[in-house]
Amino acid sequence: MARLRTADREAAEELFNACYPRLAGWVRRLVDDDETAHEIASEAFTRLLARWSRLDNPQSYLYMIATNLVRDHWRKTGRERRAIRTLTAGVPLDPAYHPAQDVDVRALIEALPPRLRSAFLLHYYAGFPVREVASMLGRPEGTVKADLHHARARLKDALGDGR
Amino acid sequence: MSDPDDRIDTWLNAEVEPLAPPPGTFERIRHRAHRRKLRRATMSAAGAAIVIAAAAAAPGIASTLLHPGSGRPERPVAVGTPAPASRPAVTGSASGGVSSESSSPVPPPGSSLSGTTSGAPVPRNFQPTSVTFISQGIGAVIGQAGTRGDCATKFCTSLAGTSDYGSSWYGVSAPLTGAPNGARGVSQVRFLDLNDGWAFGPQLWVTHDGGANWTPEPTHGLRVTDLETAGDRAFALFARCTGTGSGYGASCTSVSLYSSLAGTDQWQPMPGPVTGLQPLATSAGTPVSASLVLTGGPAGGKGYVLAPSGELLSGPLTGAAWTAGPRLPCVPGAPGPGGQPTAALLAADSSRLVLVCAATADVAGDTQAKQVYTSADGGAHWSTAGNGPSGGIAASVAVQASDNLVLLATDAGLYRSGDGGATWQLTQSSPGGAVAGERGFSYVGMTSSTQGVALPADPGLHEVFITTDGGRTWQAQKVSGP
Repeated sequence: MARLRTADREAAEELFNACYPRLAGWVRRLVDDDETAHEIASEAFTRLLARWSRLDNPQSYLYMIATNLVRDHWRKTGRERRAIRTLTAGVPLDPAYHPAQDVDVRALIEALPPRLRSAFLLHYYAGFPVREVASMLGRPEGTVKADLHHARARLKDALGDGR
Repeated sequence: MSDPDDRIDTWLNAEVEPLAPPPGTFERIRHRAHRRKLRRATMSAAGAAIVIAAAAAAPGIASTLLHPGSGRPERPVAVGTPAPASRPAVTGSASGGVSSESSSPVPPPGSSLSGTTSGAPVPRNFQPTSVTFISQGIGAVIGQAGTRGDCATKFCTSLAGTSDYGSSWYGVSAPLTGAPNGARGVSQVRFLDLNDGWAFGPQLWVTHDGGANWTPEPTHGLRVTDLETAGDRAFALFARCTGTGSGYGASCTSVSLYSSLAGTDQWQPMPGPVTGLQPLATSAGTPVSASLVLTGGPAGGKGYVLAPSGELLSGPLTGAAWTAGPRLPCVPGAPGPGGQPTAALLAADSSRLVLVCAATADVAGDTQAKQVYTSADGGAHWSTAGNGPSGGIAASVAVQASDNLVLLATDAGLYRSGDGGATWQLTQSSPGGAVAGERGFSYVGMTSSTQGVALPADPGLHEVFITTDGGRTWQAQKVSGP
């Protein structure tokens, strides 16, 4: 019973082939690391396939899991960065540390409150409609719209301050 | 510099460059998913997924996981998510600085809950503060172990698993956090199946691989005072609290019901009048207590919250809205250290609810008047079943309606009623060796009409008590040595 039936397996493989490259690329842009992007995308697909028969909308599940795994990654690397800063206090940071040109926008997204960040990433970045994001996050549509507005306003303010 | 809106749009609209999977990725994912499904299937074959348990007692200091094959005396270690090899593994030290872990061997790969023993030994001095079962054989306990200050990390929180309903135990990896101390630490554990589990009280940690790796979950400044699982969801009470030390739930001002679909790590307030729950206006300002009970699966399952006001809130286990219900015959009363009610104890199975209303205790005489009520219609109507036993101060109640069985854990021992709460017999007195103030039992629960578990209020006994005859007799099972 545990192994995927042939039809399910074919459907799963089709979904994997169609979605994995974009999901992994989507994650890579958030974590700046191919290996971590593969880890996160693989874990999202693993959780999806482990629950394959119980999900109506596998794509939204994939992106929601990936969003949360990115959040965990950011949280962990944030702790590690703080730890490294403690260990290397007084040592100038490598100016070439930030590899991505758009890292400032991404860093600001990373700094958003989790509630705003999830909605922002799923709607604006992953492209899911507000209604679907509301369903994924278990919030009313109006609340999601407000969260999106606040997230955007915060980013805009932060970028404006940096000009 | 360009307009901020433009910069945001430029970032958002930049083409995502696909990242092709390395060869064999799908097969690896498929096998990994298959193993996880198989673990669920093993669990399902063993019995219904019934999560029972948690100790209401203030947690003691205890726990650890041993390093298999280290060839040295058992040494507590909390094993957490291993850092990726490409990054430096750093662990906070007790002084608040940062150091590499040097006081003990490098933690082994995560040990997880299993249908068979994992082979990892249980550390000595394991002091269980919470127990959970997902089948008629497989369960876990959480607590502190070892000797504080001599654990492999600065934390001594540990987990142990069993595949034979408590007869033997093995080590399972634990969250990297300590015993409850204000807003931090964990003392309770629940597993939904062999993969998804949560440690909580007051922090919230999650595992998706049977405990091998644990991750902290954001709770937005709130403390998790209760958590139960059923179907494919977990439900939890998030409370706004200021309690310190092990009394993390003793000074809460409001409580809300949250839920998360297993695997998503996405906790959201439940729709319906189940957020910001407080006592009635007349008693505003007093600390709140509340409890959560789930019954059955997602299709016909139902959940109940005993609210601080004495209302019974209920709803489906699907994530749909909950509704307010009737006032109960008694209110939850003052909270215990973890925020659990002390004056109203609620239990439920698929056909009946049982409520024990406990009066102010005569601590000196170790007696307490108790009234037992039952409801067969989901809490809409209640009838008196009888007086509870006067001996002992009540801590936890369990019900198996099909056999008219009600069990009550008190500081005097375990009581059993075979007639729905009308008459009672003391079937297990307080364990010998329990220290003053921690006598008796803090928790009792049933996983079938015959099998059940009880947790001594004194975690220092290193024991859980098991029944296989519906609470008529109990056997102490050691989780670890002293």
